[in-house]
Amino acid sequence: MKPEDRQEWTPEERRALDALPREEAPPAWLEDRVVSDLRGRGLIAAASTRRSRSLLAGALAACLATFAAGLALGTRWDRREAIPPPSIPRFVLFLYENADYEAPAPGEKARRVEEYRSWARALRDRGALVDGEKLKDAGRLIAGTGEWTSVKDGVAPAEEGVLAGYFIVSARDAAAALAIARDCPHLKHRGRIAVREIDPV
Amino acid sequence: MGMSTEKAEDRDLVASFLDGREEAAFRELYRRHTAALFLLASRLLGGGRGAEDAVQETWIRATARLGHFRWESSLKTWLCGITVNLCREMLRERAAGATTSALPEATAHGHPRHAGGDGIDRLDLERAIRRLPAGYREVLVLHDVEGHTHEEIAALLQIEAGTSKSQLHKARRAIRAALMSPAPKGAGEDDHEA
Repeated sequence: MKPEDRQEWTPEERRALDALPREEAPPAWLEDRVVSDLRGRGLIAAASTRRSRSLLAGALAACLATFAAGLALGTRWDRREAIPPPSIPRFVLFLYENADYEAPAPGEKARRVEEYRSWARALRDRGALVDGEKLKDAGRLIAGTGEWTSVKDGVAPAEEGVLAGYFIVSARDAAAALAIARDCPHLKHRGRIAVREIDPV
Repeated sequence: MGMSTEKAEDRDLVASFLDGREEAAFRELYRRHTAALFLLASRLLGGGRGAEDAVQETWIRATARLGHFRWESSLKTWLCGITVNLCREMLRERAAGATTSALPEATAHGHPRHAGGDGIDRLDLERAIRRLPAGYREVLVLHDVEGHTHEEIAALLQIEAGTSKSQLHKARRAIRAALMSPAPKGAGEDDHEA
C-alpha cells in the first residue's frame, strides 16, 4: 500500500488490515484431487511413479475392477481439453435402502463397507470424489417453530426408502454423474440412488 | 534476498516441472503457492464453498499455460491473476442469486468497534470484507490486503485505475460503517457451515 493510499485508514484500522493472514492451508484432500485432475487432462505425466504403483498395489482387486469399469463408462476427464470450464459441477448421490435392499448378512458388514470404500477410493484417485459418509440408522425428525416444534425419533420417510448415506462427486455434467452412480455397488445390492446437482448459490 | 531468491527458486521449479511434467515437481509448486491462492479465493468469493474449485481451476489453467509464462511478474502474482479472474467468472455465474448482503454505504464518522480494547477484531474485519459487494471486495482485497497498486488492479480486472480508486474509497467507507455497527447476532464464522 502506498503511503497516500493508507491515509484513509486510521492507524488502528491499518494495523488490523496488516494483521490479516495472507495464507490459509486448504483442505489436505485438495492436493490429491488437483493432481488427479491434472493427470487426467495430460497436464502432468501419467501415473507411472512409485507412489502411484504403491497406491494401486494397496488397493483391492475390486478397486481395480471398479476403476476400470468407471473408465469404460466414460467418466474420466477428456485429456484433450486443456482449458476447463469455470467451475466443475458437483452432484450428491443419495443412497436409499428400502425393503428390496439386500442388507449384509451377519459377519458380512465389514466386507460390504470395504466394497463401498474401494469404489469411493477409485473415485477419489481420479479426482471425482469430494466427500461421502454412511449415515447411522437412527435419527430424529424436527418440524415447526416455537411452541409448535415437534421432535420425534425416526428418519424422514421417502418413497425410495431410508436415506443411508451419500457421496458428493464432481463430474462434468449430469450424464457423467449418472455414469458414476451406475457404477456404485449400492445398485448391485438393490439399493436406490438419487442424483442431484448442487446449486452453487 | 527474499524476492529474487524466491523467484529464482520458482524458476527452477517451473523449469523442472516443464522438463518432464513430473508429479513431484508439480506438488512442490502446489505446496509453495496454494495456501495464498486459497485464502485469496476464499476472500474474493466471500467465504463459503468454492475456494477449493477456484484453486483447482487455477492450477489447471496455470499448468496449461506455464510454458508461455514470461516472468514479467513473479509466479505468485501471475497465479493470483488467474485466481482473481476465475473468481470473477464464478461470481458472475452466482450473480443472479447473490447471497451476500450488501453493506449500507453509510458515511462513517467516529471510531470502529473494539474487541476488548485490543484493536479491531480480526473476525469482525474478515466478516465485513466478506459481506462487501463483490466489486468493492475485489478491489479492497487486492489493494489493501494483497498490496497491489491501482494500475495492477486495473490490468487484472480490466477496469480503469480511476474506477479502482473509486471502488476502494467506497469499500473502505462500507467497511468502516460495518465495523461501527453492532455485530449481527449469530452472524459468526459459521455462517457458511454445511
